[in-house]
Amino acid sequence: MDRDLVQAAQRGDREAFAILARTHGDRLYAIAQRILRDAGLAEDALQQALISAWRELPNLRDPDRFVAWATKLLIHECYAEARRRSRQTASIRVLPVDGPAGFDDIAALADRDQLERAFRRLPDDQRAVLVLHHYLGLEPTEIAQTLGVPAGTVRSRLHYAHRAMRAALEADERTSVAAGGSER
Amino acid sequence: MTSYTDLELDRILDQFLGEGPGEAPDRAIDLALDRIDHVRQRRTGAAAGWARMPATARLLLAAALVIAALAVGALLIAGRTAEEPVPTQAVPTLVPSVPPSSEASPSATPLAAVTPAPVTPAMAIAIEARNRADQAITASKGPLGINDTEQTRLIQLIMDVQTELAGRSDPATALESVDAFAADAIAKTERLAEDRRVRLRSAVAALQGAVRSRPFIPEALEPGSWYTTAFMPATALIVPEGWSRNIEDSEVLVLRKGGVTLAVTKMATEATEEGIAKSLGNPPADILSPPPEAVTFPSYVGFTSGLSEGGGTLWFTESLQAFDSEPTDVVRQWVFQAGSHVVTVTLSGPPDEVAAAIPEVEAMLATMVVAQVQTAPISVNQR
Repeated sequence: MDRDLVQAAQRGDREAFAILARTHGDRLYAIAQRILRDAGLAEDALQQALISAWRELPNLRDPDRFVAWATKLLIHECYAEARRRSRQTASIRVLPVDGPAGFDDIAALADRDQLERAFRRLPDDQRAVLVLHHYLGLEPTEIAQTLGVPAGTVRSRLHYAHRAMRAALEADERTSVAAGGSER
Repeated sequence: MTSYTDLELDRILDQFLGEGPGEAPDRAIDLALDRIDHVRQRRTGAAAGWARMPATARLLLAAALVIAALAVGALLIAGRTAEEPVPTQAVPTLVPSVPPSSEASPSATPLAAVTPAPVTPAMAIAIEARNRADQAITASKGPLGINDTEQTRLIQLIMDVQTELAGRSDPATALESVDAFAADAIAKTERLAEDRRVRLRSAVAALQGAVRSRPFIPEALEPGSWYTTAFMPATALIVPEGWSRNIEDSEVLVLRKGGVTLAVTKMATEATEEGIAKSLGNPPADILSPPPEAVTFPSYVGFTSGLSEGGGTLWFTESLQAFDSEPTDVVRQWVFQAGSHVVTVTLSGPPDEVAAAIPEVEAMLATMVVAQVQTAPISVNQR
């Protein structure tokens, strides 16, 4: 079905494109929101990605790759939105906040705030591969095809992203423990 | 201190990134879909070809596309009303009587010693259009007197023509279809009411002339008097220092200086002051200011962004002009009745450069002589 819709949209059929947009819009938005961590920016990225998709659709050679192709466009728009945001918020410092005093299991240890802060510190391209890997469940080779980069690059980004997240989590834990110890 | 295993970290990240919204707000998709109504699809061959074309070529080709679309729109609109002929109104004209042109026979090469007779500044109407980057393609009721639905349809036609022609890798082949279209359009004009026939034929003539391939090698002009040898009727004007000739053919003369472009465009012989007045939307007298002060352009078909490389914006006026401009560019336009011809002069470019160039251009226009007939204004605001 998608193939027919994509081919129709490639010929300029706006209705067909609207169906595609509504079918895949949720998924694209979810990806954008997870990369950008901001609903407004995610909406902007989604809109720009859909517009870019419409404009560039005639150049998509394989209609069956529409979803991966649209995802690639979206991620590039996420990068652009992130750059715009970084310009707007460059003067805003991220201040440390007090973490929970203690944890009993992995889920609790991975406090959402800690993760959030750690994730926001990652470069955009590392965020993207994390989202594609952990949210969409794509393997590095699939991510590589989606992003149009070598698989080795994806593995490298995943490695550094994992390392940074792990380090951030452990650093946050040390901070929490230290803060908890000083209170006692 | 806890040290996370890979598996643990995977679980943490799976859970963390699994949280969050799964549905896009309807407004986000709706807004995007609204916007694509005004976005042209890009095709690789055309995009590359378009990007390779000089800006002025793009301007002319774009003008041709618009003209074609306008002509198609006019045909469609007129076609619907052809069964109900529109009575031709005898509109009194206040145009100064211009003596019949004693067509000059220009020599093969431009002369540097033409001394035009002193003439009165010939500005009849000055139009200033400011392109606004924040404005989407819009429709305004224009000189065709069409309603919003028809106007939307017209814009769609423009898009269709653009898409059709832009899909070709070789612009030259597109011109063949433009010619075929023009021939067909001319054949169909006989049954149209006079005003529409005038308008359509003007458009077609401009179309045919505008799309011809030509060299785009700027040729520096020595300060002095020059007259055209390809552009007809022969037009003489005194060119100050710093201008170069970018294009000259039978339909258009384009001069450039810095970032500004000065285009002298001939309308078809069928074009009359009445037709031009209609094409400009018959602006009421009270919105016209005495020249050389500019007035706001009364209507235009629309504009869209992203059609050309580098963030340029292409927009279309209802006086059958198109400009490939930056979003902040301004355009000032003058319209002349020159003998049996109507000539438009368009100055475009960055606002500061246009503003700086206006006095010089007005001085040039004051010296302009068309086929040995002094330029004379068209009183489009007086009916």
